[in-house]
Amino acid sequence: MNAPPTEDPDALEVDLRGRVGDLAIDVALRATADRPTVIVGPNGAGKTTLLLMILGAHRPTAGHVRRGGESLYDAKAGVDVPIEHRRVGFLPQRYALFPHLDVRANVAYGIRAATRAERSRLAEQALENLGIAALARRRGPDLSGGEAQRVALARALANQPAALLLDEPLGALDAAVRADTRAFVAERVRALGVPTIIVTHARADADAFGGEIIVIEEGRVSQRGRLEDLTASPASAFVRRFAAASPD
Amino acid sequence: MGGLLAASLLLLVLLPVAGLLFSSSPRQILRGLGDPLVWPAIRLTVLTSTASLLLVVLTGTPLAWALARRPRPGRALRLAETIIGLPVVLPPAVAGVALLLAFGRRGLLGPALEIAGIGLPFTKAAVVLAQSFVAAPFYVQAAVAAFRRLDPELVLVARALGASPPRVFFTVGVPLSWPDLAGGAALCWARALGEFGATLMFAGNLVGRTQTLPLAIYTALESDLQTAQSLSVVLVAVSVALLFGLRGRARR
Repeated sequence: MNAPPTEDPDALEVDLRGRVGDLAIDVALRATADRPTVIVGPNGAGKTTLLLMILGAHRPTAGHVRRGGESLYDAKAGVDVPIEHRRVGFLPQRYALFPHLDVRANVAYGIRAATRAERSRLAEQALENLGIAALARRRGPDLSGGEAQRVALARALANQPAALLLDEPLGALDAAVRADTRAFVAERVRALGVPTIIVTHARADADAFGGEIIVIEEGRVSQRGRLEDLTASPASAFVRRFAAASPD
Repeated sequence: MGGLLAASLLLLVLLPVAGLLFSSSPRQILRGLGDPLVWPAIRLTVLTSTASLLLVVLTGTPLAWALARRPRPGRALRLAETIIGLPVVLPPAVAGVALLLAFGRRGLLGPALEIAGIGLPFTKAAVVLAQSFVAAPFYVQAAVAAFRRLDPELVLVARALGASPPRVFFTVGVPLSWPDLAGGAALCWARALGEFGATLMFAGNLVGRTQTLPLAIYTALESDLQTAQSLSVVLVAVSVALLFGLRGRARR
């Protein structure tokens, strides 16, 4: 059932085992830069936990994470690179914009530049690139969900991450803006061109982004493949329901 | 009936304050401030309580951050949290004895301090230690509560954007907790201003050196009630100002 291995020197290679509360995680996957890897699974299956382990916020007990051949975590070798040095971007489900900073300062936060003025300039440029320059002086609480998601994405991209993790990027949005934002996120992620993992529960997201779909149930991979493979031969009741769901 | 009971408690608090403010004319109160005890005590109190506040904020903020940021604090951190709360339930007189038994000449650190040529008891430093000991929990507990309210995802995202833990502390933790930190600092300062028992026992009651306002009130009471009253009015004015400052903050 494994997808054919892709030649990609920048790939994100994950092979992790660990435990958070009652949930044992045991997942191996390889995310390449050409198309986002989509993770789906029922609530509580360990999808977010897995992202946090890749990010370095939860410590696994065994396995490794490598990005472009560089070891970010390796239980055997005793490697555990701190979050701030992993260059792995993270978009949490509720965006987590800094509420005390305006949009421009949010985007500038992760920009590496010598001076504050230079950071501001680059932040404005990043906002312009994403077509949201008009939001620069607004604050997080004043933004709509779709706007906040765009700003959060702009902030993550401006940091020039070498890999990207998105947790339910469209989960908190109204259906009316979801399709629009989905296209926006998909286009930006493609333009960024780094290994990207997207956690979602919606079939439409898997359609728009994927790539390989990895199904996680109870902390383990229950099936992986393209959407048509999952539809043709679902390995579990969850996959059957997921594949049969309406596109949105 | 209930109203009567409630009113009597209000009166119990209000009457002494009224007595303090209105049993003498403003001119008499001002005259009381002419006593030679007054200005050294006010100067010393402002100096030591400000130093105590700085000491507590400088050491207590990182401690509170460490206590609040661990999702599952280990035994050592839980113990630290209990220890830091101890002065709240400790009678000030006991705190004074405890400080003497730790830092006094015959205390735990006495021999070490003597070798280093440091004599703490009956110095300004002793006043600051006594005030910090008693007032620290008011700030630290407020800071821990403030940092616990911080959304952990903000911290996580900041670090994923490349910020080191100290940078996260200064650019996310402190700015977002600022109002609560300031409230805790005001409480801490008020407690340090009013410190009496521990200071008396550990630092003594030496005019100009260790005699803070509360101690000066105590000394004045033996000879001149007017000076005691005037000094008390000064302390009440400061405390009320702090209380209203806190209220204003809480409403926002």
